[in-house]
Amino acid sequence: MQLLHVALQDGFIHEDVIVRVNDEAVFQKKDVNTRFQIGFADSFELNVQDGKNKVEIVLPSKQRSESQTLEISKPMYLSISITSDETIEFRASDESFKYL
Amino acid sequence: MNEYDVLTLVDDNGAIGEQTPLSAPAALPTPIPQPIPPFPQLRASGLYEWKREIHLPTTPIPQPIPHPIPQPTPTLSSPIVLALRQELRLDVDGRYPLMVASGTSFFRFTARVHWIANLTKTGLNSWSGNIWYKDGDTAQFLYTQVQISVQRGWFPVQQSATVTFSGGGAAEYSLTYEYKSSYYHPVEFEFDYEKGVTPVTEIDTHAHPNRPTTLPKETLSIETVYRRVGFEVAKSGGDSAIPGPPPGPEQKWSDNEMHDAMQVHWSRFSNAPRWAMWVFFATQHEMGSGLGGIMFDDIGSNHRQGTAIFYNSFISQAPSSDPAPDAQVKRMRFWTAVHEMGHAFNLAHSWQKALGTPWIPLANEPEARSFMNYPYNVNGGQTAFFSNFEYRFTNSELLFMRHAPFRFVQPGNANWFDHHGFQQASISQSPTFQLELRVNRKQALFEFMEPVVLELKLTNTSSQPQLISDKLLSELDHLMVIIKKDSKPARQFAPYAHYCWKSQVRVLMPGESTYESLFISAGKNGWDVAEPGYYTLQAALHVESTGEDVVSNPLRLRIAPPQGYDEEFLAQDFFSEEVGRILSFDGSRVLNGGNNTLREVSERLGDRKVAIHAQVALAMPLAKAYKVLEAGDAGQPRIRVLPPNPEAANRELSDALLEQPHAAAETLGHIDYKDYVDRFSDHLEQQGDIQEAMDAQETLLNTLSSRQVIDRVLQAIQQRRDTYQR
Repeated sequence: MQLLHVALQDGFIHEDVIVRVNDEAVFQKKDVNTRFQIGFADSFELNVQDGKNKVEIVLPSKQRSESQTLEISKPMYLSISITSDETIEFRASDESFKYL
Repeated sequence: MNEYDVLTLVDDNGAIGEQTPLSAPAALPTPIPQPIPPFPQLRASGLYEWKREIHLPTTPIPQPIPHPIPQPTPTLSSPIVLALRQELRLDVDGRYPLMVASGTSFFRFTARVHWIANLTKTGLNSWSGNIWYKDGDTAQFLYTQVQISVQRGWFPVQQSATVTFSGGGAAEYSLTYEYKSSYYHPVEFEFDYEKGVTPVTEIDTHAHPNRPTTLPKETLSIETVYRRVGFEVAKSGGDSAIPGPPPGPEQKWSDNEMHDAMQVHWSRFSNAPRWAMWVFFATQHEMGSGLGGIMFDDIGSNHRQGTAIFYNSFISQAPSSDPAPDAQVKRMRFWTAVHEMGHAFNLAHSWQKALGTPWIPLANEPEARSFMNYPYNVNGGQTAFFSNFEYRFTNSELLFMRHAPFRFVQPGNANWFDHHGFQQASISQSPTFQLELRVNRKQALFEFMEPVVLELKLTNTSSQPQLISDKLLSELDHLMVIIKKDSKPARQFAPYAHYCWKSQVRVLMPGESTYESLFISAGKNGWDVAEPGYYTLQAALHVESTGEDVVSNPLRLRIAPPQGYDEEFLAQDFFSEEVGRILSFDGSRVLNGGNNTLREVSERLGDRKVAIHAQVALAMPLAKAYKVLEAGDAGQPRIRVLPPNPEAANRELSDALLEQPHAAAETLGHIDYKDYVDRFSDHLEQQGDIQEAMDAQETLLNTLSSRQVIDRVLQAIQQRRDTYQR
């Protein structure tokens, strides 16, 4: 098992968010908001199996969803942001996120 | 070496030849003090002020008097509207000159107008340029150009600047401002710290070997960084240690606890907009060591007054391979303090500029070497960042802090992230286009529930023909409109639909304009313009052919309060998504709830302008066959064609468009009014009602002619009318 840390970062403004990992809802929250001064909205952690894992974010009010499959063999930090053109962006890192 | 290094008599620490402080009495000719400096004032940049004490007179004011407000508006002759104070910020030399001037006029006690112009040097002491930004009561400030000349003196009190405003149809007007300061705004900092924490408020710029080779060696303080921005920095003198949270797992600060600490310990705290800021150096935030600092004050009514830096966090851990870890930690602690203070001046992160509610389109700068970027997020990480970081903000950030309307910048004023770092669009120094946002009425006053239709006018202001897309103003992908209701955050207009046009290139000749209408009241965000009150709207258009971002005038408009119970009652159903969509798409035969509301509006509010919009939206889909997609047998979708109802359509359209044509032209806007009448008369012609079709065009011609619509449009109407006759 490996740690998967998921951080919702930029671009969330009164957003209802569902995150599914391997098709199972692991995070569901209403009114998620980015604190733009640190570029952070919310985060959660879970343990996942080594190997391929699918992470999907659903934004019901925008009728948008996006997914990414990650090869996980060590602790992974995954950020999800909504860009100004409404694109959902994933960024994976093996280092914990730092905010200022 | 820049111009600043050669010319200035005032250094960033205020140590040499410091200027008149902002709090000094009004500058008047005074005896020359001793000792006499060897050179006259060499720096032109700084804050200038014109001030006039006006007591409300009971008799007419004798003429001539300086009159900063354009003459054509009759009410301006009343002495009560005379400017009481005007500020000029001239930014043409010194540290990081931007070649910009901005000004603020305070008049009628509560009203003000703010302008910004880009400048070109025209002589030893003179500059000129176009005003590209206005904010406030812009209807009273028509000017589009400035010429500025500086009269230098041996002493600050002898220096002045004369600004000549021109353009915009207003009479040319000159005003002489007295020099006040080499800085643009005053600000006061207080650095408090948790017991046991030693704040880093200055560094040796050469302490770390990884730095730009050209970086001057100096002891750089936080105050100096912000003096170079253009702030006249003072310290409150109240810097002090404050107790930390009790030891144990809860020994961390929450935002609320820091907000409480700010109220208790900040010697200058007052919950009001002030040019003052509390900076708190603490151990750790409750988010843990992953948070290096935060502008915590987005709580309560006056944001951005307090900011914190956490020393028990990642900023105190140098990378394992760092050649000078102590210097790196000190640098990051210093950098973080300046960064968090930048947030308190409403600056966004470099990669976030396009998010939130910027005033005009912003470009992200993910690779900027700025205090507002994360060093470890650029390509090459923080080693790459600091190898060419010059301890400064970007020019666009400087422009915001020096020249934006002060309420956007001043701590405790505009909410955090509202109007943040507003000027990063690719605005040309010599714009080739002008974008005008307007409404087809003398005063931008709308009845309650009256939909707002804007007119966009794009003019080629260059001396050369320009190639543009014939759908440039229709392609909303290239157009951003910001809607700001007073005292509410700004919102970006989100239309219900973006159209994919097959566009063609057309030539816009010098001086020629192209026009488009825009229904702005409702969109995917809901009804952005609905509640009574004052709104400011501004548009920015990206012209792909030149790469230019053209920013419009800010348009100020007012929605009047409801006139009676009927309006208030119907408004509950009217401000719905269905009605918004019906009005936006000129009708529907599917959205029955919305249609019922519009029918009720048409019947019960027949004397109100909203009734005209309702009638048009109800009639248009009846004029011809209407296709509806519905579920057929076995759930298979099928298209059903609803027959037209020409009699009902004719009756509604005739009533809406031709009975009170001036009211219809005003509320629908000239462009849409013509479009609706054209469609109506074509419909009449197809039915064989030739005379009625010609009469409709005749009414259109007379109406738009009397409303001074351009000849090209009037000729097109005549041609259409004559075509029916043949």
